[in-house]
Amino acid sequence: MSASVLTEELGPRGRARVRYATIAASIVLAAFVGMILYRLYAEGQFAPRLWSQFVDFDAGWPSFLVAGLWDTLRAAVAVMVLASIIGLFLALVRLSPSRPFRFLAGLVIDVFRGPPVLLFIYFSFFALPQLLPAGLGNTISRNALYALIIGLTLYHMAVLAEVFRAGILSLDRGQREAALGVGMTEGKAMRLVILPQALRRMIPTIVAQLATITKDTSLGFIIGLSSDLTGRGRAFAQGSPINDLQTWVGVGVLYFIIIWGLSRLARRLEVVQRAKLGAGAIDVAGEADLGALAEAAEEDVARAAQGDATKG
Amino acid sequence: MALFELASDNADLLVALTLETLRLAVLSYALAFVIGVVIAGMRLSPVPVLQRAGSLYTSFYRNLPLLVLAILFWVGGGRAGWPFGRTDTVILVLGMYTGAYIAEALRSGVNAVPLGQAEAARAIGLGFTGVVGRVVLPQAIRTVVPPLGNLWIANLKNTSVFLVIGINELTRGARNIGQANADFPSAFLVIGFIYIVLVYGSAQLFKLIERRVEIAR
Repeated sequence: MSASVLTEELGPRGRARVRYATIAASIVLAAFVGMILYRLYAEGQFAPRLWSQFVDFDAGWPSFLVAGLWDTLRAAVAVMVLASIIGLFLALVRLSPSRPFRFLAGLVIDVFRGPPVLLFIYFSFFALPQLLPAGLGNTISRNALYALIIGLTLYHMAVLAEVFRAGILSLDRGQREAALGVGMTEGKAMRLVILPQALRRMIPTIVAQLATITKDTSLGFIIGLSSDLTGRGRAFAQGSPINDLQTWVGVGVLYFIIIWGLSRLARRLEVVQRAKLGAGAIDVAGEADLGALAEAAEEDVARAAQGDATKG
Repeated sequence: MALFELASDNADLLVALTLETLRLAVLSYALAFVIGVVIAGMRLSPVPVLQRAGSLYTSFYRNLPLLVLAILFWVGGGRAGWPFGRTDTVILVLGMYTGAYIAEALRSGVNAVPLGQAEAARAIGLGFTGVVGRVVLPQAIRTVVPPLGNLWIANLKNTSVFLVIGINELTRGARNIGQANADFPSAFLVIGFIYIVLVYGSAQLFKLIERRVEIAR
């Protein structure tokens, strides 16, 4: 029996009540799902010809969508790499001894973390071409993928800067002091002692952020990107018969597999990390998925601690 | 300067857009909170079916891009008798999405209360409502304020995604104003500034609440 804070070990009466509740809840849930399914059936949404495209290998539709997933992942990884490099730089400046630089980096991080990521994608697609020299500007306005990658990078570099900063600060002060004590310079201590340890600690958070970035690449749809999974969904839905619902269910399934897999992996890594190092997950304000990872880790540790308490 | 001119020329529009974004954010967050409480309750209940259904719900909404959810319900659902209008769709879809995150935050807030607290409460003779209402929830609420604040901010920003179904809010407005004045950079700067004020204003507000409910432990 799960040790919940709300309920203690159930007696015979409690167990009977749970049985009744199980039956009642099953009926209500089944009725709800049944009602939706019946609605869809009545609208003819289960007609086989609407679903057959997913397995129509001759027309190449299945590989068409899966190739979109590949493009989605490539865009996400590109953003991850670019945003990590700039983010790490921002974090280091933010932690540097120079006050004006520190302030400047802090300002950049806060400003770029404020507005929604979609505003940055719009900015890259519509405003950057006006600000950049014509050649470069035209490349961006003609190529939604570039605008998407730039927009996502602008936002996520700031988020990752906060992640890196928190990761570096989470390290014991003694590490830096010991490195300085054996005669290393500040830079050397950072490069050889602090960063290697801090980066390892951040791996779960970075994987969780990759899941979020993967979600965000779908926003390329809004500026007309057609090669990623969401963009290809639009093309997939334009056939006759009208299969919008089926298309987006299929697209959703593909997204779910990837994002669920990544968040699962992040959670697993976090638990291992916690057991080894005892350090907490990094939670950045306003980032729902990082918050969720931090909460999950918190809970796993609390559960482990309670397990120990009952054992002892 | 073009920037200030653009802002003052479009002052009324900017106010209207800000109010629209705030309205959608408040209404969807209110719904999300209700959904969050229900789903968290299901996941914390001793009834296995409800636990399973609750975790299915959260993993469905947390592992799909919000944009895909919006299209799935508005376009896909639209082909199959989705009965809601534009604004209602935003509130519903965003509410269900943020609700999944709120459920997780509430659940982990309750689980963060040490088991001994509930055991002690039961030992001095409090019934279920006493244990939950007087011992567990008062402590859980305090740990849950910061994550709820973060989710409010995330929810506020996520309203922008719904321009895809034709909602005219701040981000969409930035594009329209930029187009109308042939000056995208200024338009995005102005709207970006409004978002920053909203986001950091909210953050301050939640810090205030956090300090209000804080107790020495």
